[in-house]
Amino acid sequence: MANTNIDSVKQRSYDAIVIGSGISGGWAAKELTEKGLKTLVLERGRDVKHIADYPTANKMPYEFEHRGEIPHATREANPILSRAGAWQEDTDHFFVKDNEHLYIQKKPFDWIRGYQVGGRSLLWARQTQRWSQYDFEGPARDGFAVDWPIRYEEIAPWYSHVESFAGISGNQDGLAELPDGEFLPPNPLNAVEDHFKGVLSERFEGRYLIAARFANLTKSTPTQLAQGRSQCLSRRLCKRGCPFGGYFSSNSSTLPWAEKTGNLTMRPHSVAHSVIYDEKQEKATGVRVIDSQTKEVIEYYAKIIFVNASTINTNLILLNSISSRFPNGLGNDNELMGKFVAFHNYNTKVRAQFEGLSEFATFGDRPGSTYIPRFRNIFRQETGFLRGYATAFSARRNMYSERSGIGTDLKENLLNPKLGGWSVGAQMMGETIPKESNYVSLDTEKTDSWGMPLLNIDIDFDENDRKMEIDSMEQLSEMLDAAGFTNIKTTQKRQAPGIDIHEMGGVRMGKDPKTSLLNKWNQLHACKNVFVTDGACMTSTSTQNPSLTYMAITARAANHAVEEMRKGNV
Amino acid sequence: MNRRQAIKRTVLLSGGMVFLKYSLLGQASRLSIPDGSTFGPSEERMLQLVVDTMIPSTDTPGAKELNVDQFVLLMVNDCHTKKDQIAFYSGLHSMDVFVEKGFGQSFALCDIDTRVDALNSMNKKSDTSPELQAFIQIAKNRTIQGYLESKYVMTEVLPHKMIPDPYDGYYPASKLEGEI
Repeated sequence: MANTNIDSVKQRSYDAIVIGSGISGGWAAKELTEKGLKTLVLERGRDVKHIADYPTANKMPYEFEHRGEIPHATREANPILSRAGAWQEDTDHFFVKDNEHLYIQKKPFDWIRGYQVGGRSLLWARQTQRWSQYDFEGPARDGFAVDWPIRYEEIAPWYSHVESFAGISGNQDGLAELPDGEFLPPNPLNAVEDHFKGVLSERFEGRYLIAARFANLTKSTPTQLAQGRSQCLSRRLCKRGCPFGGYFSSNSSTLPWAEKTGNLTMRPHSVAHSVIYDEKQEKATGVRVIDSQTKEVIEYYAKIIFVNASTINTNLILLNSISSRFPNGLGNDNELMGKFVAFHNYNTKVRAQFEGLSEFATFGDRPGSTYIPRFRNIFRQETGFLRGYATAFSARRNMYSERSGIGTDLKENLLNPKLGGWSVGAQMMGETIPKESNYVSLDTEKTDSWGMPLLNIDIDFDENDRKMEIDSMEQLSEMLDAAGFTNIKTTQKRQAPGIDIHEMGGVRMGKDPKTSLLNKWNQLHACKNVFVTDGACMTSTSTQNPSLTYMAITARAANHAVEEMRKGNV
Repeated sequence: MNRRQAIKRTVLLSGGMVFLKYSLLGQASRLSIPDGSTFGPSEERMLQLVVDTMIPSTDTPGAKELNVDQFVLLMVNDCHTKKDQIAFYSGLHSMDVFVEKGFGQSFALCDIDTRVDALNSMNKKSDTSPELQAFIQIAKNRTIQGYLESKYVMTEVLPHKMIPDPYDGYYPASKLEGEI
């Protein structure tokens, strides 16, 4: 009997456990297994195998019963999810429905989730801009949150490491505020984007239009071919899963790579309940899991644990990891865990038209668009708000079908598309300031289907965000006007936070254990064999789409973890 | 009992209130007509005539041949609000009263040109009721969608490319203006 028990524990023991298989969990799995660690990846959702589990990837539009639209009753039943633009008939199977995992909205917060192997890496927008020194120095310079314990120089080699493997397209633009990297050829700009770029460089000092860096393979190098991934065909159907591996996801890249080492064990349907802390050894010894199908509680053991459950669920798991040493959650001596959550502000858009360059049009498609790096408050504070915003920008001139008339006129119109005019769209991507009052916490009474406490989410915009929104509309309008664009229209939305899908923080990195949860290697200050390297670790948000930074931080921390293990330090 | 079965049963139970011809049965198992709305053989024929008038058969098939009426119904029932649905069915039901009053005979008996005129005039605020306007707008939008996104049009007429051409941001506009 005793032997059976020992065998059972042995069978459930690994060198490392990674909670979560999304964009950061996939990287943890890749790095740890490559270094020879027997690694268990816990995923709360079902398995999604690359290609085999992309049921809609090659479907024509008419093969969808509602031509892509989610039926009204389904939308009504999912008010949160229905605000996610990517939720359509072809991607329905990759999104969590509102009633599948409840949470309490102290204030409106649209928490968009993908519970499956690969998580939201299947669904992401794929923009991959590096942070700069000015981003890491931001909180210290401007006096908010806490100082980042790392600087750009420390993360730069890891950006290169993940860019080379994932395959990132981009140009060497030579901008200090948006450092260059290891890039595949950039997405081409079109005539109007080049025109706008020219006007900015001539008339707006410090403002640049560049090809946005994207995780789509504009060319496949031997590195990606070795992963079984080939060049992106610009189908723009990434969110269905790409049968060519044309964009980076855990499913197409890091997870199969980890599997090839023979060191990976993937366990889907495993809801992480808590990290197990051993008071005698003064370290974490494993993870308690609820099998989502059988509701059985199972414990897995490992020497090191990576928590990559996605920002909010990482907070949930750690807050739920209670012991007599840590009554408020693992490593939460300062009671700051769950607090200082921030996000990105996407509230404003500017649209316009362009009468010039009528000799050109756009033809075919590309997997990217263009980007204006942050130009406010970079080198010094110069506006009435803190920080700033980047801008996503694109111009197009496509064919369209006139819809006027009835009868043969209408049919003629529909079957004879005409060339439209140039139109452009710009969207702000603003940094928000982490605040103690923006937090997630465990509800003391209500629990979910797995017996886990429900999360309270209390997160909102503030005055700084509103000022930034107004500035973005003014500045973009001014820039477009100067470049000769007409019919400039601004919109200022009042969407809830969350829908930006860039929630960050709650388990922030910092230098001082009194004011932060993680050290510069993403180890919990108070429990060094637990690493948090997803969005939860973020001290501040900057303006860049965060995934590339999660990847780099994860790869860096995983390599450090292996070194520390070999030295016997964890 | 899954959703499909549940809806099927509801349709069966509601019996005489909702009449559905066998040609619509494939879709009909999914349809739930709002309470108080009527959809019988005459409404069904009317909708077929409407989509046929909007996008008629010429040297290529029109909306009716492509079963776009069924698509319109499916979308109205599955993808529109209750308010839209009520307006749609009420507009469809009352259409002939409007046509007879303005054009002297029922829609079915009008010649093609008169049918086109009738549909055009239904869209004018001064001439018509909000229900008729809602009906004609929904019917037109969904007819266009059902037609353009039919397998036939997407494969035979305006072939849809799953893999687009390589991007050209300086494509000569003249090549597209001339292409028709």
